[in-house]
Amino acid sequence: MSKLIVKNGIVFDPINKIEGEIKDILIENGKIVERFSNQSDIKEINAKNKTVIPSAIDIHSHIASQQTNWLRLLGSKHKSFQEYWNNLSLEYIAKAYISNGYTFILEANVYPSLSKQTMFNFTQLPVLDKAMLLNVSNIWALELEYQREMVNEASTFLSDLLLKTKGFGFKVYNPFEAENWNFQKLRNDLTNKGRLFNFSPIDVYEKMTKYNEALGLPHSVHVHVEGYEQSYAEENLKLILHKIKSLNLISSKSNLNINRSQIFHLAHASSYNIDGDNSGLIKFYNDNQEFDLDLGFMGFDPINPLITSDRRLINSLIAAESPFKVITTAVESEGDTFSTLRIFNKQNETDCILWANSLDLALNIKNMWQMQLSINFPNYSHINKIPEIATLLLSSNARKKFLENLNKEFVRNNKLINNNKELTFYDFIILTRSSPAKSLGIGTVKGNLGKNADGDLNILNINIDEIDTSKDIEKIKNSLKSIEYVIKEGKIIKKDDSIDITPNGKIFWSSGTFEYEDKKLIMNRKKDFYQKYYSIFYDSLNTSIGNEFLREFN
Amino acid sequence: MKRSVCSGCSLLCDDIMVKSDGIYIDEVFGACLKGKEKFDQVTSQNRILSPLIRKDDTLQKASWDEALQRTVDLIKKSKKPLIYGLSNSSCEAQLKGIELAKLINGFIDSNASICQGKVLDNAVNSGITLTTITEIINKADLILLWGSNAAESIPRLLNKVLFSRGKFRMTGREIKTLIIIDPVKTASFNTMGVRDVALRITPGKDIELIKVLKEECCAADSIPSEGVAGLDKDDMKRLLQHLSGAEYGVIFVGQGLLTPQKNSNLINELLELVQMINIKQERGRITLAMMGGHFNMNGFDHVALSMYGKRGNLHFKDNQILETDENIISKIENEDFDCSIFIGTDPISHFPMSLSSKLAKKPIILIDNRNSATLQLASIVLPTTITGIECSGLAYRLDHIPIELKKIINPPSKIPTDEEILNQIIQKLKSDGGN
Amino acid sequence: MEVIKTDFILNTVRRMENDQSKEFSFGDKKSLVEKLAIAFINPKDFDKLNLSSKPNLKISSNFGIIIVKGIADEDVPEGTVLMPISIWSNQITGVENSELRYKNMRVDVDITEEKINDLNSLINKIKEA
Repeated sequence: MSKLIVKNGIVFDPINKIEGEIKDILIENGKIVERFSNQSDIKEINAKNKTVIPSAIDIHSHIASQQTNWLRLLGSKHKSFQEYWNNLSLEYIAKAYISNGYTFILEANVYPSLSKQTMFNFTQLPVLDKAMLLNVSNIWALELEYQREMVNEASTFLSDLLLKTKGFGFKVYNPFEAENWNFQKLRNDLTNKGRLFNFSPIDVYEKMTKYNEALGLPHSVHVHVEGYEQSYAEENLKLILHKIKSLNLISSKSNLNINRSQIFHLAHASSYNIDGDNSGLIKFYNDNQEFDLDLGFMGFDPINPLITSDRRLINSLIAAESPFKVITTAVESEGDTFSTLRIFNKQNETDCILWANSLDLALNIKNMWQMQLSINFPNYSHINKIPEIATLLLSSNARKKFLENLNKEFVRNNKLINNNKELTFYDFIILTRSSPAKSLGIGTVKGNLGKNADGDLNILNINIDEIDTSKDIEKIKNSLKSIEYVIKEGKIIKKDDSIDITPNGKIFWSSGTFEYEDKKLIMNRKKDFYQKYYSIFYDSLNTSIGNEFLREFN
Repeated sequence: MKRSVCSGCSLLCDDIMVKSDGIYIDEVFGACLKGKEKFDQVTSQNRILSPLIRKDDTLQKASWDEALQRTVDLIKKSKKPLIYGLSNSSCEAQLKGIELAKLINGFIDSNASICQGKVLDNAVNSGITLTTITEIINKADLILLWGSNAAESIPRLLNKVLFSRGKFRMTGREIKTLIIIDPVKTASFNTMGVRDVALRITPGKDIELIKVLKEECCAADSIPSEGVAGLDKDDMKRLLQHLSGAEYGVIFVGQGLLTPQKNSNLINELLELVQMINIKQERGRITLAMMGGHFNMNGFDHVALSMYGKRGNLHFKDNQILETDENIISKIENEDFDCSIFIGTDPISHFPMSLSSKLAKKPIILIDNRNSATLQLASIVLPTTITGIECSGLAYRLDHIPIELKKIINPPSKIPTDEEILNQIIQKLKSDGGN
Repeated sequence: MEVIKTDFILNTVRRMENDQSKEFSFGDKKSLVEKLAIAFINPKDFDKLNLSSKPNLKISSNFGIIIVKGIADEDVPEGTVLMPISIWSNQITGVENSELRYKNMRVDVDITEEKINDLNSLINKIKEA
């Protein structure tokens, strides 16, 4: 029976409202306990004058889908990719995340027909706990439901789909855009009905939000807004947010004290206001607590992979004569995907605006629990940029210094330079640990150092009480860069420079709490649909992944 | 009667019905000839059921302990081992193969590199638009078999993509145009209807056709009046009209297009042509699909990419991956190896005499479930189960869709799976103090 | 007298009926030769070569020579010789620039009374090379 005590650390644990208290953390058999069952064989770590925080959680990444392999393939031709991203191998991804204090990662976009690849990759992704969101926004089997609502029928099917594939929740991404088979065709109004379907894309955003709450899933619906990084996204974002607000839904998980309060999660929220004006979005979020978002920080890496299904973005890259090739796949009538590489540039005004949007949102949305720090890994940033991003949030000095190297035009026009607001260390812990856990609905066990939570924590070799986080930029950065200990379920995964990648992480999954009496009838209908129009039977989507890898969460 | 997935080819049909009590397979329904043959392998009279070791120039039965020990001894002596094959193994076994290569500082690659992997290698240089079978079923109105004899290599492919009715193709075969470009009048030509287009190209002249089509895409009337590559000018115009007018076209790239050409890169030219057409295309799109023969030809690429960021040709030294320009052919050609391990493949039947004779000079360890020409030269033969019948595992269909294979019956004589054998070798090497 | 063109293009292919892997599993030494040590040519070439006068074809490339049985097949274009992929066809394939050459190769074709090699003799040839 393994026991670990982390003694006398300065503990930050926002879920339990603990802000810099000196206390011991006890972990027995992987769980945090108030006292050990007995006093034998206790491993002790002295954390005096050190800071103890929960392990970090990435709420939006692309690390284990088929598209990630297309990136690796494209990257194998580019030295800068190979060197900077280390071929993006699963082991490297795990090590990079662990180094930065992460022990949970969400793969945010998996087509059901490719979910077995993600599951297989998950088993090869060491240490980290993980979960995947299924992209069902182009699922023809739900054609009638998207058209007529039919919450019971849709939820029955979606619940079964999660059970079969061991998914955790749902991503909505450019619904049915792939049904304009010509890649150059772009649509201009999400409220128009489609070429082949008798409902509009906005219907899918709306219905999926309803289904998600009917299902009672841990996480809310996870939404990408069509046309990102293009001016087209702005109006779409407004349209979608107001549409969802008009539904007057409340979170099916709001009755539990740590569970999520949002009904809608906006992915990489920095991507949509390409003019740099986030005031509408900030106001909307300050007025509507049932929405949350992740911030999508940009890291200005030497080269960035790009996985997307957003046709408009890809067309704009091609039109701008991107030197990088595109691998396009059309996945089993579940959507098109594009994989390519690109370079963000500090001298490019638009890139600077995208970078600044994350900060603008983080500094001006009042409720920290409505936001999560993300980097849209690997699309926007390497995870190794987290310490630098932290300093930008904590220190206006750091921000000003960073701005010196950015596009002059951008610096002249952007208000960020005048914003002296600084987040506290506690805020930073909310953004990277507690809020992602809450948003994902896993706050009872992750991002939390309270009783019965998983024993996942970081020990930073820094006394937060003794430094000024807005001034001692290098100290903060270094403590996050070389985290002294990363502990997962009571096991020391990282100590200084050595990382242990032998333990396996778990795959979190959920099929919700929805029950419906006509399940059999509905599933027979859906199975008929697959038999008629799919290359495989519906039942063939079932993964036979071993129970030892799985952790069910409802 | 239970539904099962067929591992007879890379189409991985999941609609095969198998009657079995878990020990015997009584009946198999719905499989094609190739699938049937796969199931017949279980009881094939020539199947090897015991490990074999070459003694006095003949293969003799040996115990598993002895055969594995000999295998490990050979590997330990080897400084430059080659591992090749694995396209007829599960992804789990492919992972183990790579793990072994890393442990013994070997060079590993799969059959894909001399086959469909070439298309992916070129996609890195020119981009590619891929598609999948459900897409084709529901949307395709143009199917082009180019250098591929689907009727014999992937027998049920045309049933699924040509003779099916899809969501947007309710009239089925009637609305779909089939074009075949092939020098030989293959069995696939028998599926042609009146509106279809048969293009009997002069052997080896595909590249000329592609180049002229590319020119025609840039400037109309580039086709010489006498035609090109043995094809009539009007036929070429029809071909281009079909390609640029289709709502959803798919080109199945067969082995006929993968053979290397002097002074030009045919696949690259083809990918560029498809791109040019897609820019010109106003109605829909043209996509590509590849036709790997072995049932998990795509699996190794995916496993290797996610583990090491490389599609194939993994070269390990000091238990680290190395950058290399070598491939399996150059390694053999330059005799840059001192022992070879073949898994589920028969290189002696597939490689030219010049390579076979070089392979034969060094010890060959063969891990396979069938008799082959390579077996005649092997130093050690380790028989394995038939994946998809006697053991389960993950495989990637020809369109890169992951499909799980299921175990139907227990293997005869308790023979292990590819994965188990590779794992035993790894464990034995580790416990013996490594290489 | 018509000049006989002996200059052919070799293509190696997979055919269900002539599949080396199938013969190794279900056939025997005799069937291996029957199904694989063969070459298909157009009937017109068959006549031109006067194949009925001598039993076998001798096919030679830059890489080697093989004796196989010639079979007339009207689906094969004139000037092409088609062989199933096997240890026999691979006696005349080769490697160029570290890539396999097994299709669209120039070969010379002649008729011969020489015998067809069986599997054992080819294996021995490989060993001794």
